[in-house]
Amino acid sequence: MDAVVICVEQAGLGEFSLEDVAAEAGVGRATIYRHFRGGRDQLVSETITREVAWFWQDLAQAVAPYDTLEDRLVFGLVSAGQRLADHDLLQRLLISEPDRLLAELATSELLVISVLADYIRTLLATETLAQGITLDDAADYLTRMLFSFIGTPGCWDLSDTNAVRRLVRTQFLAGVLAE
Amino acid sequence: MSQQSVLSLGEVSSAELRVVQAATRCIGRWGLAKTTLDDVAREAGVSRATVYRLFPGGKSALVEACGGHEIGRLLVTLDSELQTASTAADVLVRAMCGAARFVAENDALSMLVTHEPDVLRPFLAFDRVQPILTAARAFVAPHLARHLPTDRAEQVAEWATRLVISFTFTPDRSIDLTDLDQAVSFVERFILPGLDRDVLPSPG
Repeated sequence: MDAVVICVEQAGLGEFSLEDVAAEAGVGRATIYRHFRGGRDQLVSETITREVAWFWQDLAQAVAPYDTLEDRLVFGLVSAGQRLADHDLLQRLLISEPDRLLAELATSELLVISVLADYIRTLLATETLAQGITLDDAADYLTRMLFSFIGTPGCWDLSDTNAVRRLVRTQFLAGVLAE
Repeated sequence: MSQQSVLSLGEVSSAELRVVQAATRCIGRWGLAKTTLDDVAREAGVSRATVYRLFPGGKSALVEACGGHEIGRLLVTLDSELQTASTAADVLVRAMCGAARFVAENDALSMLVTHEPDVLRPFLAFDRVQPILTAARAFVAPHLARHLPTDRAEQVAEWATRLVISFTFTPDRSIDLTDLDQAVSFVERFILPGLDRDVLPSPG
C-alpha cells in the first residue's frame, strides 16, 4: 500500500498501473494479485481506507495530551485543518480527480462516523452533561458537528485557536455540557 | 430570458434550466445510477449533444447543477416563512424544519437520500459543501440579523445549515426534524444555549 501511495502521487488515481506498484514495492505482480483479488480497485480502496484510519489515529494521538473535552475538540479541529491542508496528495487529488477520490472516501464515511462517535462517547464519560441531554444525544450531536468541519471550514479560520475555541464553546458544547 | 438561479449558485440559461429540471424528474423516478444523459436529453426534448454542450463536465456536473437548483428552490420556499419569524430561535426552527420537509417531499432528493446516499456523499464533502454553506448563509443570515449581531448571524446561519445537511444524509434514530416539536426541542437544547452565551476565551 505504501507503493500504491507513491504511484498515485506520480500518476494519479486513474492512471497508475499494478506493474508500477509491483516494481515500487519490490514484489512480483503475482504477489499483488494474491493479496488483492479485487485488483486495482481493491488496492485503491484499501489504501485510501488505511490513509483515513491513520488520519484519525494521528489526530487522536495529537489531542491525547489534553484533559478536557473542550481542549480536545479545539486542538482536534485546529490539527485536522492543518493536517488536511498539508496532505499534498489529498489536495492534489481533490483538484485533479475529485469524483473518484470523494467516491472512495464516501464508502468509508459511515464507518468513520461510528468510530468517531464511540471515541467521543468515551470523552464525554468524564464530563457533566446539560439537563435533558443523554450521552447518546451528546455523542451523536458532537460527532455530526466535528465531522461537518473536516475538510469544510466554512466561514471559520481553523488555524485561529481563539476563534476555534469560541466556535467549540458556543456551537459544540454550549448545549451539551452543564455550565 | 435567463432565470436567475438563487444566490451564488450561478446564473442559469433557460436551456440549462430545462435540462436541469428534466434531470431532476428522471432522478426522482429512477434514481441517479439508472438515469443516463440520454434519458435526460429525451425528457428535456433536446439532443444529447445539447446536454453535453451545456454540461461538459458530464453527469457529475449536471447532478451538481440539479442539487444547486433544488437548494435554490428550497431557499426561495423558505423566504416568506422566515420573514415572519419572531426570534432567532424561531428563524432556526422554521429554517431547519422547512428544509427537512422540503427534502422529504422532494422526489429526487428523497430518492437519493433513501436509496443512493453513497452517491450523494461525494457532493457533500470537502470544498463541495462550501458553495452550499455560502448560499444558505447568505440567505438565512439576513433573517437572523434582525435578532442577532451581524457576524453572529452569519455564523449561526452556517451552523444550522451544517446540521440540516448532516441530518438529511445521516438520519437520526431519535430526531426527526420534519416534526415541528422535535425541531423546536432540538434548537432549544443544542443551539439556543450557544446563542445566549457570550463567550470570550480566557487570556493566555
